[in-house]
Amino acid sequence: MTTYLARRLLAAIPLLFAVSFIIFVLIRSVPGDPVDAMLGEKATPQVREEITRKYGLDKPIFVQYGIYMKNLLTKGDFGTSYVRSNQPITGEILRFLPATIELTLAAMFFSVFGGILLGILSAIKKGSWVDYLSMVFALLGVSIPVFWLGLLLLLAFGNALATGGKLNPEYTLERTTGFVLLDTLIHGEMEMFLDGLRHLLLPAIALGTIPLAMIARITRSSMLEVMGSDYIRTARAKGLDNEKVVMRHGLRNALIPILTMAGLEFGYLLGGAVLTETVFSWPGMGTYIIDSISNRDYMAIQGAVLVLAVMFVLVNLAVDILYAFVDPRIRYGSS
Amino acid sequence: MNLKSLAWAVALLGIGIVALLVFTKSEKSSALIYARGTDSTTLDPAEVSWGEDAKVVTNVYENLVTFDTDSTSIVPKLATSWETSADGTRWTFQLGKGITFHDGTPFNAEAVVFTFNRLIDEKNPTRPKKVPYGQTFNFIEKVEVSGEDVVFQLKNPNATFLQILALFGAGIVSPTAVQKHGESFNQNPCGTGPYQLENWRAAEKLILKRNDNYWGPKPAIQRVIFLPVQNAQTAIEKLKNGEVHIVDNIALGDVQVVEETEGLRVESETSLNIAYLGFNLRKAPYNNVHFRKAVALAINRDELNDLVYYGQAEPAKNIVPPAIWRNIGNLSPFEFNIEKAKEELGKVTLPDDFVAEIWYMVFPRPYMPEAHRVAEYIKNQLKKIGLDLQIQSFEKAAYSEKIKDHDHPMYLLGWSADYADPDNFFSPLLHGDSGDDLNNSFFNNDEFNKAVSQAKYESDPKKRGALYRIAAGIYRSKIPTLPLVHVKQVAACSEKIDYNRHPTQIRLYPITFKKP
Repeated sequence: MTTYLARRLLAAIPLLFAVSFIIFVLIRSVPGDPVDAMLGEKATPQVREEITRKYGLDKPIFVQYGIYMKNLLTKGDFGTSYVRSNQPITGEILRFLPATIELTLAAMFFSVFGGILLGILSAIKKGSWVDYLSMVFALLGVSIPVFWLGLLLLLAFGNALATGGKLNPEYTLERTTGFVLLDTLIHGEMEMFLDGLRHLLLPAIALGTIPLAMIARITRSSMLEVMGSDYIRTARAKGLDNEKVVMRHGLRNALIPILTMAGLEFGYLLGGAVLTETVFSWPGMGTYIIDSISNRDYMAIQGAVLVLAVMFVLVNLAVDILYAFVDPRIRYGSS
Repeated sequence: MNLKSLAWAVALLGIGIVALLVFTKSEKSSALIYARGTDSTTLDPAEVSWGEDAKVVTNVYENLVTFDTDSTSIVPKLATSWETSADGTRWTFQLGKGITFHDGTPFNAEAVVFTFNRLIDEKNPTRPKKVPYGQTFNFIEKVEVSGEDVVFQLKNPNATFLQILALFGAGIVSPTAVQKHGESFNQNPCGTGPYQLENWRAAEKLILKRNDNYWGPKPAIQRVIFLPVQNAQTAIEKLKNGEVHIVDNIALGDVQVVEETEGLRVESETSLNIAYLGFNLRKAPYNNVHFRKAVALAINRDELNDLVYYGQAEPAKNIVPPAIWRNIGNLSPFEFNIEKAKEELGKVTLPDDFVAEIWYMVFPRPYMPEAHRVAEYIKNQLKKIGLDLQIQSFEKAAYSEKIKDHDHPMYLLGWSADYADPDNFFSPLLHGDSGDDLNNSFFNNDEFNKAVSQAKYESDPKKRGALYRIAAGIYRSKIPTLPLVHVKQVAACSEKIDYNRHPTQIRLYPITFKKP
């Protein structure tokens, strides 16, 4: 197991290098000058030149990449933002990342539990109204664009709950972990905790609906397949009650494809968070990336994208490891 | 428990939680909440390059002089009075007494000298990495303490000097705070203004609190929260729900919706900007004045205003907005006459298959929120005089790159004033010396250049006015760019507050909550 882990982690290194290099080159091949973005329309050529030199933008791209990677690897330094001058990007990312993780986890929770529940229900009640209703819902779910759903939820329930942001702006919450729900609990602020939930609910539903639909569909088909197999018949023949058959023998075996799906969905959620965050003014990585893109802040964009890429790789690794717990037949490192 | 009851339990629990959340929601509104499209990037006046940053900075810092309550006329602020030498190059300012910065540092002549040295001396160790408006202050030779006064020595007389002193970049900073915070001064602002920073969480909120030691009349509202809300619809929704009090720069198309919503109103103010249609004078047939006249005659500004700007603009007679031009003279509106336009176009020899071309930038700006619709309108009008128009759009950065190649045809651009003076329109946009910079039509007319340059140094308002009238006359007859409209700035606000917008600045201190 440890060897397997080590091997997987090592394999991720060249992958991340490749990702960082591609981002680095791609961003710089898009037309437009970061210096223009930084100084606005009203700067003179002399000032432009000065800034270009100061930030090393006149150096060849490989040299720029080399300097960037060196600082990143030796000091964990993503560089300083061009636009928010003097701000180290590492600090900025650390500030924005928890909000995105919090939203993603909430959406994940909603979609995994809701999806599995809906999937099982329609599998065991195949052909009933529950089945049809949940499959129509699942179909709708996969077809709805996330920002549209977000706006719709906002218009419908914004008044009753909250129309965006992490917390009522008049609350001042001391920042310990950066996760609103955790911080409010740590500081014993119940009123703020409820307000945090109020703010989290709609974006989490907006972001989680599509994955929920996907998971529901895959759970249904996976369950149907498993429930038709011989060992389920054996289990029933043993006289086990229906719940045990479904939950212990059925679901556990149906879980592998669901888990794979959920892992992939996590990547989708990180991407979808960008759009959801815009609609709900959620101050996370999505907002940060969009801000950086519109300001053409190279350093900020590549830092943020790289962090998301690392997270994606780690989540996939975690999913692979989880397989072993779900299915005892899978054992790593003993081949 | 069987599966069915589990499902019911989960559903009920969900409903229960949502109900709890809805019913425990309480209204909190002691602060004024101001929603805007994006967050600030800096709070150091020297680093400010755009309106979003200026909005906050203007309320935290004060200048030697400022604009009057409802116009751009200059009135004293930190300076109580001033004199100028006969040749107009030496200005002495008497300063207000008993004023302190937010950190307790006394405001005095040294602080003024410190502030301006940061702006004009490129070797100054406290100067930030970027000073976008540094060039604007270049005409200042040096700033010195003289007893309790402060003296500005200018390289040459400059009629726009006081306007420039009122610019956000010239907000007086606390020398102690700058030295204490160094590079992070832009996160820890310290001025003499009516509000000071309480807390800033990037992309989340920026909170200002009232400066209780303020030397002037204290603002009525204790706390102001600036809230970045990227999505315009979300912002309006927040306003409807009473979660924010002001949404600035709403889409012109939303004006009607807001006006029809009970409890909301629209606050609009003529803004110091211009949207114009430019011609590349280095390219045929755009270099032919008859061609340009034909285009000018084909455009009906009232119609453009109604169709594209939802009636929220003012038809332009000049590149300089009327609020700045008002003391200079009267100009007649541009003529709209399709027949005459055809006549003018007849004087131009065009290739048989000629198709005119127009470029625009896909980037909403106050004066050009929907550039594609302006382009469509022009296309439609030119068709009426028998001219086909091809529309090309570029993303903002790509557009700036393309313009640098000097191969552009007609183009849609605009400008917002930095300071309220005709010079800030004529010089950067049309003077021959700005050709590689912002004068994208490459207009270079000796007589025009001379009038504009002279006016810059002329201190007699009458003579200045005469020079600008000459410049405007040349501009209107040569039409290197065709002024279209001046677009109003529109904010939506709650009926719960009293708010009258200033033409150029976002001023928080006059805002009050209405008594219920």
